[in-house]
Amino acid sequence: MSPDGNPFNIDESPELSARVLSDISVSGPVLAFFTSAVVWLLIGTVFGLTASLKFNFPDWLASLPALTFGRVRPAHLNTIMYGWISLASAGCSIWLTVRLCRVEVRWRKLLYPSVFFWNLGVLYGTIAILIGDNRGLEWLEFPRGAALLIALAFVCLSLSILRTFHARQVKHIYVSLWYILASVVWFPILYVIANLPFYSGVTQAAVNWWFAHNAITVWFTPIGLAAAYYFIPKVIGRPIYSYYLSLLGFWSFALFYNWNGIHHLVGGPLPTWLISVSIVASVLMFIPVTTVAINHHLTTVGHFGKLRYSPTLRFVVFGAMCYTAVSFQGSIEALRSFNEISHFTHYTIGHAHLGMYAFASMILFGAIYYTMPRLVRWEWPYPILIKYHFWLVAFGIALYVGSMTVGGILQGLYMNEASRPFIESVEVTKPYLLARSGAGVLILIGHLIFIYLFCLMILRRGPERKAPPWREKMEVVAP
Amino acid sequence: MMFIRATTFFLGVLATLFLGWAGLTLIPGIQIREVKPSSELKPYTEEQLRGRAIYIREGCIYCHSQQTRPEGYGADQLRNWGRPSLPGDYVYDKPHLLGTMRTGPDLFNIAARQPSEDWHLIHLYNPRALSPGSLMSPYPWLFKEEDVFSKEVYAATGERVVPVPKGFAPEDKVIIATQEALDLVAYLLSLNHTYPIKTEK
Amino acid sequence: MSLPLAGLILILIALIGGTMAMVAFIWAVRTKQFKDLNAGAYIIFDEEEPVGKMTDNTFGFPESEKSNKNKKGRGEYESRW
Repeated sequence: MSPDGNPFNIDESPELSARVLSDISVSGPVLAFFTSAVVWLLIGTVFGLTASLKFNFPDWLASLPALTFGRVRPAHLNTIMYGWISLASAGCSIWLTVRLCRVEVRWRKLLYPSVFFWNLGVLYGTIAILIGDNRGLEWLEFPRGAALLIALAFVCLSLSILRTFHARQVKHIYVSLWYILASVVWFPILYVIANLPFYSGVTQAAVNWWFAHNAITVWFTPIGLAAAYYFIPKVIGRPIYSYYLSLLGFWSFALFYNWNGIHHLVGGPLPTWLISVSIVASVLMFIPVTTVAINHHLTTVGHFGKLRYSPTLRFVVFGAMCYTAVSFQGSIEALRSFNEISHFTHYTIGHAHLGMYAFASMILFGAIYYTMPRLVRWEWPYPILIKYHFWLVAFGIALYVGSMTVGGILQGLYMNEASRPFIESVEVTKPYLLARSGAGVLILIGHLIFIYLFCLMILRRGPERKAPPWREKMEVVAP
Repeated sequence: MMFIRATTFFLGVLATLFLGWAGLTLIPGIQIREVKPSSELKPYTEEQLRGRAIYIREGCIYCHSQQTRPEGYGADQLRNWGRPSLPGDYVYDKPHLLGTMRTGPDLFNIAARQPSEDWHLIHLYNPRALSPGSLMSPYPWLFKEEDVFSKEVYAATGERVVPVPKGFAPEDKVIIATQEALDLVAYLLSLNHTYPIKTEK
Repeated sequence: MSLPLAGLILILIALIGGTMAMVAFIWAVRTKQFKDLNAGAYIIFDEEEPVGKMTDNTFGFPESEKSNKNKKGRGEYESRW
């Protein structure tokens, strides 16, 4: 056992680089985060497909209260957000932290409780939603007990990351680390304030949507960007194009994105100045998003051929491009003239999935494909399956976003034509909702393949592929 | 030096969060706190609150909004969904149920558009019995099925029979509304904010 | 507290905060915090994984013990590590 309780025997390994030592020190907790994330990915995907099918066949399984759309849909959102995406992001962020600080993880003992309480919170919250104990606020449906567990779990993660940062052996703090450090300080504060019991009426609506958008601002997006800023240059082997741009990008992101939340309530019963402020902030997001896009693009340009060799690069570049797309889309969507058509329609759902799937989830897939071999010291056994995963979900999400975008616009246009009965705005979406379910099937199959591969990695099964040199130098005692 | 840098960083990061929080929730909250509700808006009764809890439980917010937009923002006014809703209309709403989707119509004034208790009960039992193209989920667990007896028997017990159209309920059964269904409909029938607002400052 | 007063306070906070940010920025530039900023971009590389070397070749390297040298263009990416 090494001094901080790490079960790997590293006494005979003076030649192991700091990089490898960092990886080993966090492998247990990161694997725990990733494994639980993947379980929630499966559950969340099934909930999502079920919810979608409920629109295609409303009387299917209609006598089961737990599977009614009104419960399955929030179950899908919460298991994906606080389960899959959050847990995968947590694993990714602590791994990136040790890599970028070039040090072994500190306060490792806080990470396993973090995994445990996080999962317990999501499980408790999800069951609550299915049996009808929903707090009635979008993105905040979990009972306060579940939210408390998640907040505690997050604080454990934050403390470990901050303590590790404090022990860093680097002179420069890489851009990814700015986003991660900001994240772990922002999110617990945000989550606690949002869950306080003091609000009601339209003020509560403002708090609700400040929270929901800020969860994207302070947690999901920063980790996605942190990963993209690391994996793109790291896999290709070139530094980020302009470090100055990333500095501008970070601070303009922090300043503007925090003001976006009320764009979810355009036209709503709130002071006009408040809504306008959020619309302006949403449009100002062009600045940070463009700097990120320039940076990532100019780092990759001339090296797109490398996507043939690296699944991580495929997923992360796809995700980074979709970040640009979804952000520009969001800036337009916030404008009153566009919002008049798209508000309350499936267009919003398409936008949400372009962000949370095509950006956040795809990048997390890329991160997992990169880190897993370095954590379990085993190569992905069937690369062809990784290709199937990629293409199935890429087509799937394209179909999803495409169908919801077109269907949503039509829905909005029909809704705005008062001469058309409301039901026509429903009828026009039906073929698109069917296409969405088809997309869900493609995505589910892609996920099943991914989960199969992940299980093989955890168990170190499947054909053994060429081992990395450092492993040949020493025998590592596995946990 | 590193300490100053790190401190500046964290202070800056926290500042961006709190500035946004203050601008989007604190200041508006202070402004909205001053708003008094119209005297015609009554607090919810016990029954309506129970019904509201069922509305939340079944996730009605994921398909229905409760905010009527002004002219220039869609066709809410042209569809006669009610005058533009204002902060004062939501004073007794905890949690708020503004909603963000209109897979189904806005419900803020549904009681004014559809005041029939029978209609709502049948619609909840199976939406397609009254609205053929509807995608809404049915809520059969808010109802119970009993073997058919004469109407007089039910009238005597005080059970609320729901006149579900033929073909949408089993032939040999009668559909009875449970207390939950009645509570939910009581809540829906409380959703009428068409009272005029006094233009005061 | 009335709205105009609250708004005024918010604007004051923003102005003070913005001024502090500007001061911090000017201080940073003066004390040359930004001089070697681009060096930070190189921190993700090390001796074993230097600039110019791809660090992920999952689709590239051999399925078995058989060599991959015959495949065109793949020789340069032999080792992930």
